[in-house]
Amino acid sequence: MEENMIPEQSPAVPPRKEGRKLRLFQKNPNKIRESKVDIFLNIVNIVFLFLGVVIIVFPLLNYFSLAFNNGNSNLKVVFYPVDPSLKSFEYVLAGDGALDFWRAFGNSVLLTVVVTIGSNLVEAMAAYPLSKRDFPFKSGILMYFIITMLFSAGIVPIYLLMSMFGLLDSIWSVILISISNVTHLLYFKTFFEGIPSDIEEAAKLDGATDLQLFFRIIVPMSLPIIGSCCFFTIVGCWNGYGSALMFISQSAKGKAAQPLAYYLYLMLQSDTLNKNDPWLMANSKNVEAAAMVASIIPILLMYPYVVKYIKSGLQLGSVKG
Amino acid sequence: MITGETPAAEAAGGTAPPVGETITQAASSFRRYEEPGYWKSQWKRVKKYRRILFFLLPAAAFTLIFSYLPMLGILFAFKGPEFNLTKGDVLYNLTHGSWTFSNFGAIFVDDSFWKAVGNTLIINVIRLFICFPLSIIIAVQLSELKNQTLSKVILIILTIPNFLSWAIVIGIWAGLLNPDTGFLGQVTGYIMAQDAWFKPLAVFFSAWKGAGWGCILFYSAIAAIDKTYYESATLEGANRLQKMWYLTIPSIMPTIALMLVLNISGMMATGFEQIYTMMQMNAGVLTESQIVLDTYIYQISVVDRTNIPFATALGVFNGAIALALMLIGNAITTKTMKRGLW
Repeated sequence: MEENMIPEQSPAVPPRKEGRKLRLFQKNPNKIRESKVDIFLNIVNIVFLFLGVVIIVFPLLNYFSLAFNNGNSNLKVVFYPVDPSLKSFEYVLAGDGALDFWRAFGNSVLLTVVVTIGSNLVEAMAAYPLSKRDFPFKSGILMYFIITMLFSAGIVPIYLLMSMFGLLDSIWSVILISISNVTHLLYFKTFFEGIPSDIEEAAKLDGATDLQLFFRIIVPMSLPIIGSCCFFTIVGCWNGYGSALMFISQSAKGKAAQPLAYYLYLMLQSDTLNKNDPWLMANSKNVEAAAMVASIIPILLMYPYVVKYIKSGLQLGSVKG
Repeated sequence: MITGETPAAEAAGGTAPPVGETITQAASSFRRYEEPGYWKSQWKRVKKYRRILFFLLPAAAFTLIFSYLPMLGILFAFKGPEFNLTKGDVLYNLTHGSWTFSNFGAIFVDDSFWKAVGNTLIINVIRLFICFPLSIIIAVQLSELKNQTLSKVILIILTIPNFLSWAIVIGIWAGLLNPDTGFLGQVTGYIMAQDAWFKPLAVFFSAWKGAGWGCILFYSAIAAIDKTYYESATLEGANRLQKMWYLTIPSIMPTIALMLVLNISGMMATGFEQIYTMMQMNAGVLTESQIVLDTYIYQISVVDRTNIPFATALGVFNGAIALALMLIGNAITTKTMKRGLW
């Protein structure tokens, strides 16, 4: 992984010093001279990737600098705020828009926390017995779960079920529908199967009950898989608004139950903004951008984990080979 | 299939559990109950594991209530047109009124349905030809980069949009393409409101959001290739293009084939949040070239709610097609690659 693709050096040459700085073209005296095709490919490669990075980063910078900009000079913004102003943030976080924003933020926090803990706990507990090789009726029980992954009856029955429970226009409809996650059940099951049974037997000899065994031994040993499943649940809950679109209407009651992503989606259509305020009319794009920037901060805080996750995923790949 | 991460997206990061094999095993083990002593041995194992049986209860209960109970709702698809929730509750409507099969027949003569199927297939086929190869190309290019640190930094930058919600992604591009305030919109005009641009933009947005994340799987597959192959290829005088074409691509072919089948299995789903948000950006004006299956079902089942039996029938029909596509995909991968689809 860490070494170069073309380290064609004879054993006599002392190993290169590992440089800390980024080097696109590394100097190596004994290297086989690259053909013209290779040099051309290198250039195409770098240009292409550079273009990709620009296509990703430019819209982000452009849009996010709108959040820090004054609405009158939006046209001049390229990738930094030309007329810096924090008024949009003030409006969203502490001004007239604060009630809606923080209510949606609170709903999203509730949704994310309950689903992340609930879903992963429930699925990990179910995966534990299913990871035993000779668990009775194991295949039948597995089928019971997998069928729900393959087939669903559609929106109408779930919608009517929620209306029968009286959960429409409530964040709990979104929470309850998100708890069941068979994909994670299967991840946990696969991981638990890899834990040596000797450890469990030793703990049982020491007098551990099954609950103690699960929470004190199995869960701590499975932290990598539990961590990544929790991470995906968090991102999914924070960013998803498909179920919210289904169960939460735009009525007064529904408004109090909107999660943050749904609130942003409604904001895009600008019908949540007060049309009588001239400052707001001039700054509507900036307020929108400020709300979006504020909403991704929790995800940004998790980005070190993403980096670690991607790196470990890549190492996993290289070990397998 | 509307909510949550797709299995493919998650499999991109971790190791995919072999569900397909589980299904095959399960099918074969159902036949074992005829063997003598089968029930006795099962009972012995129930007693052995009696203390952890209750671990299954919460998950089983949630699945029963929120997955199996709605399946009873399939019955609505067989109700006559007098089904009306303003006259009584769900149970009243279920027990009163006539039963009919005509709702399923009505799907096939529904113009909007065929428009939706057409648009869904068009968007997904273009995605298959653009977004899917794009991920592979990026992965190959990243691994061809000599500086591995730089290639990881680029990879992490490319995955950023995957962690933004669709509302933000579309907000960003709507802002950029806004003719009054946007940087690109001053040149292009407001192409997001134009019918002809809807499908290209839908594909472009999914590429922008997903290509970086999608390439992680291929990138780690390439990283797993034995480096000695490359060394011997270099000694044989292969240039980098030849190594790419004759070594890298064939080595990651199993991964490519798997993801291809997975993509084709999800052919009837377009990503509800994305398409619906894009449609709503045009001041809620729904034109026929923008309607896809996901949004059409949502429109008639949740927004309109005028013909509940027909909406149910369409939902069930869509679920059946999705199931069939996945089972076919699973059969193909189990046969050719000895590995389940999920």
